[in-house]
Amino acid sequence: MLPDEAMQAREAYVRVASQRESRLALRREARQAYTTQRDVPGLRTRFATAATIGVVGFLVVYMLCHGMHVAGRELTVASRLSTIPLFGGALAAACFGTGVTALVFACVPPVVERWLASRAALLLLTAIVCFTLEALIEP
Amino acid sequence: MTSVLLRSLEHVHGHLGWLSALALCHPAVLLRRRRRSVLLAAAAASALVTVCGCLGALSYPSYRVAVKPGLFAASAWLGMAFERKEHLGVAVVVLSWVGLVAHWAAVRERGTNDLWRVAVIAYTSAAVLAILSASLGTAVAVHGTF
Repeated sequence: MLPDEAMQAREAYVRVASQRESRLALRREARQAYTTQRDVPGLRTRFATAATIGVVGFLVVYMLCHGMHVAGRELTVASRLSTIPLFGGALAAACFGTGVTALVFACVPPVVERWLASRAALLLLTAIVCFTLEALIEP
Repeated sequence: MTSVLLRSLEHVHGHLGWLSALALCHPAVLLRRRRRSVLLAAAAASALVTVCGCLGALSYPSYRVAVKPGLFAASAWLGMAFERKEHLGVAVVVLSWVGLVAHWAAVRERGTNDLWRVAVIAYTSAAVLAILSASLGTAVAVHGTF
């Protein structure tokens, strides 16, 4: 091989190697950014998780109010909110659900929030099944 | 409220109820495919359900006085069916909104699948409960009205 050809081959090798290195660096950066994004949920995710937990709270308190109404008792807060038991229970549950949403959104640390987010679907499904069964069995 | 107005309100509420139930099926079916954005359909369905719920809540106090006693006297099952419908209706409104919020967050922040699952569960449950609620409401409306 002539010295010029060797030089050209070496330059080509260096160019390809540097391109490969920059590609790998880009991939590393992208992976790091993705991991960071996954580890620190954004405000929308935080709010949606808080709202889901709030709705679970809403359904639980609504079931409680309804169960007490069926048993012949009224929750004091519900009866003060409205003279109609359906509205009273719904308003009390809405107040509780809003409070839970605000509490989870404002106060829960990211580690607990990630745990809640991973179980939010299961919690919601359980609450829906219990709510539906109670509404159908004991209206 | 006059009986004519209440009757009109009841008719609009009934028709909107069935429309809302069908509208909720749309996002429930579309969301089975992950990463699909159906924000407009989901928002429209949630808005329709909310309007329908507000109309129901508006006519409920008059219903309790004018229709409920006669309904229970005619058939206890029908009276109970209406009570069931009311509870399920409340759940439908709440679930449609939490489904919308979860879907919005899942579309905007593509980090996790958890919220996608929440949206699917919320909309599917809301659609099923809405159909159940609308069916019970129709069965009751056949027998007793304002």
